[in-house]
Amino acid sequence: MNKFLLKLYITGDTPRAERAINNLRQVCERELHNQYELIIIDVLEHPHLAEEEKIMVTPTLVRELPPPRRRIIGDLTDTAKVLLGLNIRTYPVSESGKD
Amino acid sequence: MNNEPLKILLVEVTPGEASLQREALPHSGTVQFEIVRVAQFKEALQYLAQGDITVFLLGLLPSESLKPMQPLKKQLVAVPMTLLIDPEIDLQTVERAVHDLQIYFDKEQIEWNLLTHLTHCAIDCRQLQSEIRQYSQQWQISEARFRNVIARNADGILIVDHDGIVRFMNPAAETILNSRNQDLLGELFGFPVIAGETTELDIVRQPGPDQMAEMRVVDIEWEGVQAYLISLRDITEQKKIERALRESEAFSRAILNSIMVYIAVVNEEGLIITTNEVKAHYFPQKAACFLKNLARGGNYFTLCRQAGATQLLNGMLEVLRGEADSFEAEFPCPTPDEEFWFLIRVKPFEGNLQRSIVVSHIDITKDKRAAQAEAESRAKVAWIDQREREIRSLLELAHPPQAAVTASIFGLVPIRESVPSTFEEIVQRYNELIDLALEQRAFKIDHRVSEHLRAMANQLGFLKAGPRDLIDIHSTVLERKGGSTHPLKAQAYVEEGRLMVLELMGYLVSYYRSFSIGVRRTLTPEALPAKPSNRPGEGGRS
Repeated sequence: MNKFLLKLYITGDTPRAERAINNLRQVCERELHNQYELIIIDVLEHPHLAEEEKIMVTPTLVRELPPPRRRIIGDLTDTAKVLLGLNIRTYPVSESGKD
Repeated sequence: MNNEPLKILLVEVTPGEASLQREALPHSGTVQFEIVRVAQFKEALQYLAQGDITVFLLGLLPSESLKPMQPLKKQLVAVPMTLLIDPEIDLQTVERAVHDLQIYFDKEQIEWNLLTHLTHCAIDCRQLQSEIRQYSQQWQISEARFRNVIARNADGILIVDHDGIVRFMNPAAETILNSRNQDLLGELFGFPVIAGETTELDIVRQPGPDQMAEMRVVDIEWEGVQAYLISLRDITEQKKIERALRESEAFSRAILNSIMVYIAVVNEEGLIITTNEVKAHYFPQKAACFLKNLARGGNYFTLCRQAGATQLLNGMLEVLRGEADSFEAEFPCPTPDEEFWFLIRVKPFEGNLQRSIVVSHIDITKDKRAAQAEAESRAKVAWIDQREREIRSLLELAHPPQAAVTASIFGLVPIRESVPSTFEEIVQRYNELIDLALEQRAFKIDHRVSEHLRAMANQLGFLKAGPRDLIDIHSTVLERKGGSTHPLKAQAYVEEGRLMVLELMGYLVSYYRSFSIGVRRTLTPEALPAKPSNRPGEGGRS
């Protein structure tokens, strides 16, 4: 199984950024079951990364792996829409609950 | 379909091979035909320019002769139907030359009924095509207007496809995103996700100030495919204003909460809209007044009516109606143990929605108590002044210069001067007796003060003391006690001392009366001394 590599671009330590992180973690824990790696990138601390990726707004979530690359922007509270935007299906869970 | 004759323009460059005969057409059905036969394209152009040709027939045309037809293309657009009746000609060549070619026949097997039917179908088809073209033009105009509206919209608008690729963006979007149209078109923006109607985004600018936008998303069809229309509204200034308002409100609320005054905003129905936060139990909880029941959401007027606070209620209503600029009243709030006081001040408040009043409740209990204490203190000071005047009078009475001179003339010297040691001893005893008298009164202990006073009176009588000597003793003791004694205790000494000196005088009078009776009984008038005898042992007082 390919592991998901997700990058979340945020701007500073704001309530909106914190909300986006929490929402995304919940979605990942519920849907991806540890089969993911989440990288939080603050565009204020790493402006060059945002420039390279041509990030225009935050919060922006990029699915780097597995291909194809997908990108969603906006509110991450709606799990169904987030999964739809990332083109992620519900990840099958083995009997052990992991892997 | 109407009954007007179909006007057919027949182009036959090689008329010798033509099989169509003008005469044959009218007999081929109910539809009337009118055939115009021309041999040159130039003539065809002239007829087509008249605009009443229904069918354009290409007759026997060799392929190489189609080039001159190019000028016909524009005119043929208005002709409902173009027929080719010579299958030997290359069909594609004719289609390229006359783009509206619709059907062709074998020139040898033309069925005129079928041709008539097809002609009418072609007319209908042409009409439909015309309508479609018309609608298409309208749609193009509409889309142009739509794009114009979007382009001029103050909100930034992007259209992205389902992969998040930017397909369109207006100038406002360029401004908000700080990017040029050509840089973003075809680039990945992202799949927009919102939970409700809108969501807020931070705009990434490098470098640049913080900027925020509100995003709305609607599904649309764009250039034939499903897409998202993303509306971005710059809310940076709005957020700054909101933040400033929040900070201002927090500042105001902090100030309101810091003051030790309970403030309630009451609307026209008496509903307490809001209050500040003062310490818990600002109003005494044991109090019988209704102020302790004030809380946000309660009805102030109802509480007033239930408590019978009519004056306060009327005052608030007058301010609400604009009949008074303000209202103030002191409101007692007694508990079983002590009494509290609050100053209630009512001021009008012009809110955005309706007229309200601001009711401030100021705890003035300390002020009230201080005022009471001050009044009591003043009364005590006045009383002490009065007592002081009394003592001074007594002193003056005890040491009148005239009396001393007069007494000296008559040989009456005060005990203080004649027997100072005995005077001091009596003062000490009087001093002790006045303390005992106070204890006797306060603690109900019988110190037998009266007996001691009687004994002292006997001693004073023996010394032939007069009232001035008693007052001298009394005032000396009070003067000594007043120096370092608490005012309250000094007051008690004065009161108790007054009784003691009166009692002492009484005993002294009684002594002299008894002494006088005893002398009368034992001495004859002749034996009485001519002048008062000297004090025993001292000899100076007579």
